[in-house]
Amino acid sequence: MMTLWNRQILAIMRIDLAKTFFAKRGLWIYLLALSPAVPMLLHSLLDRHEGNSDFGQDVQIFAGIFQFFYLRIAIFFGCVGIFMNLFRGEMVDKSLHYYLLAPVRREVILVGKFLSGLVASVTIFCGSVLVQWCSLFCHHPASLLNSYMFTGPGASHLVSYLVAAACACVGYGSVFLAAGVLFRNPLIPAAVILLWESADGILPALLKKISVIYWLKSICPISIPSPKGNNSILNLLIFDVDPAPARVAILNLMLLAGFVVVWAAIRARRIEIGYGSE
Amino acid sequence: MAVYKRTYKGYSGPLTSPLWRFTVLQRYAFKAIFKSRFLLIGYVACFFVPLLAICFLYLNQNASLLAMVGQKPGFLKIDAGWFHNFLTAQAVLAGVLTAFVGPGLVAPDLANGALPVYLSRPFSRFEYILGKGLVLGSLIASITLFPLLTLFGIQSSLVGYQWFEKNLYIGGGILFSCLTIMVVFILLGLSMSAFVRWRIVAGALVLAVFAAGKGFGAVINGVMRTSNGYYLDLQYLLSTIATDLFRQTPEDPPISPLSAWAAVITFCVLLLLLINRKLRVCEVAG
Repeated sequence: MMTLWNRQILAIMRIDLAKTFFAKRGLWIYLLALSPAVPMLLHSLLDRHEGNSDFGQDVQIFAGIFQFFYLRIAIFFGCVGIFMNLFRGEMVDKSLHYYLLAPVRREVILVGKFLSGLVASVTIFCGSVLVQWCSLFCHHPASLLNSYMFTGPGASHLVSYLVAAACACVGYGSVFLAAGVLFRNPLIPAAVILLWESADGILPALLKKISVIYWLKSICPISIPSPKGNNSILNLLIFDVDPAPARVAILNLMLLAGFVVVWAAIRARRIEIGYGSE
Repeated sequence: MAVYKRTYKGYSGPLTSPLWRFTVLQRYAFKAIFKSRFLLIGYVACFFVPLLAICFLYLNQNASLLAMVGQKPGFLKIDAGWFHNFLTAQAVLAGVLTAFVGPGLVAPDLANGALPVYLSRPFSRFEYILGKGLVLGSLIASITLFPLLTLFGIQSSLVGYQWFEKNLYIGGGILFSCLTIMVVFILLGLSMSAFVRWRIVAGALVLAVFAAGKGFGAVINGVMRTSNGYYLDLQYLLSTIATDLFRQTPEDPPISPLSAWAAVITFCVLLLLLINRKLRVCEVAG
């Protein structure tokens, strides 16, 4: 039998999922998530006719795009949009008091909102990984794809990318949800986190473990070879000399998310509405 | 005084010249911006690097101090590359400043329906945009153009007229690079502020234009095996223009400075069209 809290969480999720998935305000998140698929599809269509595609190179390109663009930019900004909107968006729409006036514990509201954001972000970003995967590899011969996916490492690579995308949503989502609860202008913590995550490559070993991207890179299955030329900033963004085991990375991200959500839930008890100041 | 005598009286104080009315907006906007302690601290912090650079330039030409460490004056080369790197660092700060200040300029006026109040006065839409743009422009200029020109002046005064004459193009490069950056950032800040009426999202969009443009450009370059993706990378375009103005263009750049100019101008025109579309006062026939 469902407990009261479970039913309340499900009710909050039902309301918030509809807002997150179908809101006009959130359209850009779909565009951001699916944007890498457009050049990938164009590449597939053009190379199908020209026949100059290299499978190994495509695998490397996917890995590069996933680590450089998808994790660092698409999922990061997507989570900023989804999770900060959960509380700040309600403040802007002047509708948060409906939740706070209902006989529901603040912690339950926060967990419900976090889970709804998580379901939405995981669906959008993991779905986009699948679309990108299909877009990039669809033009290769079926026999090559079969051997890569089922006898080679393809399936495990795809699962690793999906897990990394989901873990990114969990990690960034929890942090931005907490920022939405704690700060009136969540852009400030978002900018600080963006700078911190960007500087991950130059941080000492101990400090880089405080970032989310270090653990995410550890889950990624392929390490990217150094690009030609002396683009040191790009190198800093992609490479990691000392990755952690994937299981440890997943566990740490879950622990981080758990800790941050519990902390945010405790702080949510003291939320005060000031619509006038928004 | 009897109540009946308290009738309407026209304002009899001094009037701002019609030519300078847009500065009124700037004055009030500055007051609002610097109410935020965080912004004030951030703005002051933007002068930390220029101050360090001034000390560095002085020490680099101080013969007695350098003799103590066994070096001669000018042991580190101060050339166009040095000024370009300094400009890059300050431009990043200017971008962050735009993300925080820009959204607060137009979005509240649109969200609260205040635009008709402005435009019902003898105040044109152009003056409104100019006034709001000047707020961002003066802040950006104060952390990019003025520190760089000051550094150029200090270096010229320390080394001598010959250095100044030989490197006059650096001064031109500083001026035109900073003006280009200012125009792009002003238009970006105002257009995002007008496009998204929620200040926080507008600020995030300003940052995302740079980050997502760079990332998506890299995706296109990687997947399509081309260099056309650089046209979406605003940071790269501005850097290409600055590199050309500082006469540091590599032999075979992925995109030519002329193409970069064309792309930036197109981008600015698109932003202007967006501002023009969004900043309109609508008449609702009842």
